This record gives sequence, C-alpha cells and structure tokens, in this order.
Amino acid sequence: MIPRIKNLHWKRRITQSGFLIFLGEFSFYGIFRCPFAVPYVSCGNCPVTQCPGRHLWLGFWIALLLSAVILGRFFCGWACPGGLVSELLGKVSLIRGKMKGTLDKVLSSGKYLMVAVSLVVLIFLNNPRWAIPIRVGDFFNSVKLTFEHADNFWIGRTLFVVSGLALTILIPAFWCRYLCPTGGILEVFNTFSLFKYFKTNACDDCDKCREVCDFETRPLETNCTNCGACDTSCPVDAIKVGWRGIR
Amino acid sequence: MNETVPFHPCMHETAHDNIARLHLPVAPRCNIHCRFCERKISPQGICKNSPGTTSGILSPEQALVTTKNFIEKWGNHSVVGVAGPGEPLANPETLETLALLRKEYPSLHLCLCTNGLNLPDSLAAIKKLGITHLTVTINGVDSRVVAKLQPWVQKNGTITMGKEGAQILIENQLEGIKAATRCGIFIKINTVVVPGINDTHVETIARTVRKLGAGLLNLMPVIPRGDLKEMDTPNQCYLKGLKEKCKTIIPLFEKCKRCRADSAGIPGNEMDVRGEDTKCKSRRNFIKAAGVALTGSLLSPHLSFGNTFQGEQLQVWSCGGLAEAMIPANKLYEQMTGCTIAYTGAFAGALGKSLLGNAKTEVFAPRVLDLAKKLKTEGKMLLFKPLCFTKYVLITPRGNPAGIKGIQDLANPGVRVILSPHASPPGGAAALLILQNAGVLEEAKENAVVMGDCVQRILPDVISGKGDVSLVELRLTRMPRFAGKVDIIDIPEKFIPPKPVPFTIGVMQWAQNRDLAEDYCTFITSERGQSFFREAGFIPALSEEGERLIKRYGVYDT
Repeated sequence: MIPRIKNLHWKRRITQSGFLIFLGEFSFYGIFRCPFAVPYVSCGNCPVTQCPGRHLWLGFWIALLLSAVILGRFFCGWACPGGLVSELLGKVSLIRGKMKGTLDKVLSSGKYLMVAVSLVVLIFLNNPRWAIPIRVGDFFNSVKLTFEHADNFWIGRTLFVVSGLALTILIPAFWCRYLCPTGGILEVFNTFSLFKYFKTNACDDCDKCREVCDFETRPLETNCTNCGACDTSCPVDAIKVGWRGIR
Repeated sequence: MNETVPFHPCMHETAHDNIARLHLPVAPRCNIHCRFCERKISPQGICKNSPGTTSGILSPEQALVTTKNFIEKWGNHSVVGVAGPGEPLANPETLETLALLRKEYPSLHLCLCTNGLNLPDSLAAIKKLGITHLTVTINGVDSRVVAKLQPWVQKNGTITMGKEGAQILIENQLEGIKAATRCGIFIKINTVVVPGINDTHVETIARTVRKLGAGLLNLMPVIPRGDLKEMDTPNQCYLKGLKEKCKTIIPLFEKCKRCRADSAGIPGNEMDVRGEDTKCKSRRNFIKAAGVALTGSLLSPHLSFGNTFQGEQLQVWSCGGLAEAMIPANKLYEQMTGCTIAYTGAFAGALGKSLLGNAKTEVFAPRVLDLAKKLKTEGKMLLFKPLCFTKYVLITPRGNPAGIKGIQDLANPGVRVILSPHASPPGGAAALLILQNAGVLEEAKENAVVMGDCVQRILPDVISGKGDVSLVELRLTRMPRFAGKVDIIDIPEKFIPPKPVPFTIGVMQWAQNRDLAEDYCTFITSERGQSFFREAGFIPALSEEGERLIKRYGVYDT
C-alpha cells in the first residue's frame, strides 16, 4: 500500500497541463488535420510536415503501453489532452449520475467496438487517406482547407469524434467512457496493471466516490483511470492505492 | 555605437552561407606596403583565392554593369562592395563607383574594406553613401610591431618609413574607427596573424579596437606570399587558442574565406566577376549562368532593391510537393527582410480549387501550368514566372539487385514492381501514365507486388527490398528520411506527361503589399532561392536545363 498523496487533485492538474503542452498539438492535429482514417498511427509516412506526431508517435505508443502495464488507464486521467477537455466540460454536464449499472456497462463496451473498427480499417483497409493533407499552413486556414477538401468519410469521422467529445456537456466524459478506442485498449490493461486504486472490504457501496468521479465510476470498475479524485471521498476509508496483489 | 552584427556574408555567420556578395575590383593602387601581400592583377592568374588577387580591374561604369548582372542573378539582398585589389580608399574610383551604385540602387547594401589610413578623411563621404558597415584591417597597435609588417606608408603624397610611418597608420586607423562607430557605422576588424611578428600582440589589438567601439574581430592566418612567402602559416591549434582568448574580449567572425578582390557569389563558392580565368571551371559556369539570368527576369523592373520589410506579413501558398524547398527558403527570406511569411503547402489542385472559389492568398506557387493560367484569366493571379520542374525517375534498392536498366525492364517477368495507383494526384496517376506511354503498363501491373495508395509509402518498400523497382518523383528521394537510400535511373522525357512537370510562382490580386510579394517572387527565382529547389530534387527554372524546359513546356506568362 502506498501512503496517501497530499494535494493529489492539483498535482494531477499540473501533470495534465504538462502533458497538454507536450501532446496537445499532436492531439489536435490527429483530430483536425490528420489525413488518415485512423489518426496517430500512420505518422511514419505522413506528409503533414508540421505535425509533431512525426517525431512523437512511436515513442508515444511505447510509453503509452508501458504506462498501461504499470498503471492501467492512468493516461486517460493524467495525461490525455482529450481527457482533460472532457473532464473540464464534464463540470457542467447536465445529466449527472444517471449513467450507471447495466446501461453504463453496455455503452462502455462501445469502446471495444471502436477498437475493432479501427483495427479493421488499419489492418485490412491499410489505413486509407480520407483527406488531402495540408502539409504546412497556418492554424485556422489549414483546418478550414482540410475540411474543404476532405472525403465525406473523413468529415464523418471527425464530426463523430467532435460530437462524442461535445456530448460531454450532457453526460460526463461521454467520449472517454463510451467511444474512445485508445481508452478501449487501455481498459483491457486495467485488469492486469501493477498499481491501481481499489476498494477494501470496508466499502459499503455508499457511492460517494462515484459522485466525485469525472468518469462516474468506482475503483476497480470499468472506466476507472486511477486518477485518485475519489481518494479522500470515502467515509469509511475503504479506498486505497497500491500494488495489484494487495486488496 | 551600433552593436547589431549586420546580416552580411563577411560578418554574420548565417549570412555567410546564404547571402551573395560581389567584390568590385576597381581599386588597383595601394598606399601602404604589407610584406605578406602580393597583388596579382592578371586574367591568366592561377585560381588563387587570396585578398589582393583579381583577374582584372573594372572602371566604375563597368562595375555598374557587373553589379546589374549580379543582382539579376543573385537577387537584391546581396552585398556589393570594394575590397581591392589595392587599398580602396587610395583610389578615387572606389567612392565614384559606390556613388554610381547608390544612385542606381538607393537601398542596395554597399560595403567597403580599408586599411584605415584614409578613413578619417573619407568618413564624411562614406557616411553620405549610406554605408552602415566597414571592415578595417589592423595588424597592430604598436608601431614597433606594425613597422615589421608594413615598412612604409604613403599619405598625401609623402612616403614615411619604419616606425614613424607605422605610427601615422595606427593613429589614422584608431581615429577612423572611433569616429566611424560614433556615427553609427558597424566596424569589423581584420587582423592578419603573422607568427613571430604580431601573434602575441593580437589580444592587445582586440582590447584596443573593442574600446573604440568595433563590433567584430576576424583573425586571418597569414597566407605566405610576397616578402613573407617563406613564412609558415600559423598552427591551427595555436590559432584556436588565440581565438579563445580574443572571444572573451570581442565577438569573433570565424567563417572568413580570405576572398579575392573580385569574388562574386556565396563565400566559399567563388567565381570572379570577369570569368576570364579559363582554368577555373566554376568561372565558366558563372558566365553561362549570368547569361541565363538575363533572360530570367520577367517581373516589373522597378523593384525595391535590398528593401527590408520589417514587421510586414506575406501569405504564401504552394503545391505541397514544394514544401521541402519553400520552408528553408522562406526562413532565409524572413531573416533577410524582417518580414513574416505565413506559408501553406498542400495539394495544388485543392488549393487552386479554393482560390478559384472564395479563398485568398498573396503569393501562390502551383504545380500544373494550366492552373496558373486559369487563375490569371480570372484576374486572380496578376503575373507569374517559371519556378521549377519536377523529374520522374525509377528507383531501385541500393545496388539495383534486379539489374534494372530502364523503364522497359518493368515489363520483364519476375521483376517485382511497386506501384501506388491510388495515391493522391499527381503521384499515382502520373506514374501509371508514364508506364502507359512506355508501353509497359499492363506488364508492370502484373509484376506489381505492392499496389499502394501513397507515394511516401513506396520508398520504405523499395529501400527494404520488398520490390525491385518503382517510379517516383526525384524530390521524394531527397527527403531526409530517404536520402541516399535508393539508386536512381532516368526515364526518357518522351514518356513523361507534361501536365505535372512545371511549377510556377505568381503574385495574387490580394497582395497587400505588392512590392513585398514581387520582391519575394524575385528572391525565390533568384540563384539563392532556386538553390533550395535544386537541393530538394527539382530542376530550377534558373538553370540551363530549366531554360530548356521552359521552352519545351511553354512556361510563359502571356
């Protein structure tokens, strides 16, 4: 067991901000300027010279999988710029506390469907280019030009992602919980990861932790990102963090 | 005192590799004797690269013509100056020439080298010419040292020998530097390091000139010629030590190539202005290129020569294929003029479609001649000029394991061909058309082991030997990731479809500052701008081959 970290909330926000600086641009390019059907994975031969992904992508995926082995969905709650946007938007979500139980479980498996679709497009369709790459350009103009000359597939894909993120205004972390394929891959690791938040037998299912959670979940359950937001919320002190062997 | 190092090839280390300079040999006479100097004014002269050497002397009027040609070839951001072969300020022709140039080109970067003896007397005239930087050669600030290197000086018709003469020289030099820096002229000091004579004195020189306001010091190891031709050049390590010491006193310029009095071009890439030396191949090329340059200037003649566009913005769009050349060229242009370029590079067809719609940009460099012509017809492009040409080639893994000799070999059974028929235009379609023109399309398709959808994916497959041969634009093989990793085989021109080959650059109707837009186009099509396109694997319009292709494809703005 690991002793409780002080001011965890702020430490996490600072970490997220740091990653926003480091990954924000890559993240943005992937959604708005990546010409490929599945972004973030074909960077090795991408013609968009401006995108930082050219240098980042391989190291990024290696680090991501390593982090998943050690800390499960840690990336989503601590590093992902999309996750940060989602969490902040989630502060004003209109429908809070309604998505739980079976409904939540069924929708959550949408992530796995997205992983499957992405893999099919990536492997069997060889990740086609659905947009005309704007190799170099200024910020807004390039996004505008990309939309102007993209295939309908690309427009559809991009609108899907953007609306998934925007739905957070209704349901907290909608994209992250139900649709994000990266989240889907990391979710698999959540079960095996070495360190994680967990509940002890003292837990009496009061769901106080679910109320403070941006992803409306509880430790050891689907969509837990080990963010630690629930760390101090437990009235009976049943939430602990530690090595997987200790429950 | 002006402390900013000018963007000058003999002062600024980035400028050194990028900015062309012209030394006009209009000053044959000298007013001091330097024992290491051997002036050589001879068209038959060996290709000697040292100060004091020139293939001939120009009159001020000839110098003006030479400058005109030079600017057409190298662009208007070049530096033009007088550096000998004698002492510039001992020859009235020097200031006469510079005055002529100033009249013709009100904002051209002019420059001057001097030994400083006549500097105090000429300073008013120099200032009037708008010269903002000077190089003064100082080999000592102690008359005992100087007398050993410069045994006599001649001032106002009188020759003075020995230490007394040296004293006159030093006094004038120091007074000149002080006065010049006081009126805002940037001063670089050249010091010829002569072992055993002034090497231990160099630090004192550095300290003295720094105190007087000099901004830069250039330590030049002596080239043993003249009276000192038996002398050794300074040991490299020793020189390095001297430089380290001086660096703490005054900034150093360390890229000096000790150029001739008639150098022209980017330093280190010398050609003399007359090009009469038949032993130097580069000089012959210079004359040829100069001839080409004369025909290459299509833009309006009243250009703002050497203008800076500090703080201004220019929006440039180009075919994405040009990005590898445009990015470094834009960076250099920004450095030279102080403007900012907002650059977009993407598939020209798409950008063209946007521009034919509602989009706007100030300069556009499209692939496909018809696109430029169409924009021109609609009044959206005001004028254009040929920019460069692409070249389609066959590529094989290093060593060409399948022994491909030409395009016909793609039809041979068993040859593993890599194609990308679905690549975005013109990558995929053009390659197929070339194969069709060569009559091997069906066979090549049958031989295909990869049918990709992106030209940039072809190269890794060829490099790794997944296939024996593919067909791409030469520019792809120059990308850093792929450079030197494939073998290249030419394709006969008759098979190449004309449409995707020529690129043009033009000023658009939305140009906010037309002078800036035109100046930019002139820069891109000048020798310096064009060199980026050559490096990126294109054939620049400003080249013999480019000239031929302009005619072949009819790249004229009519």
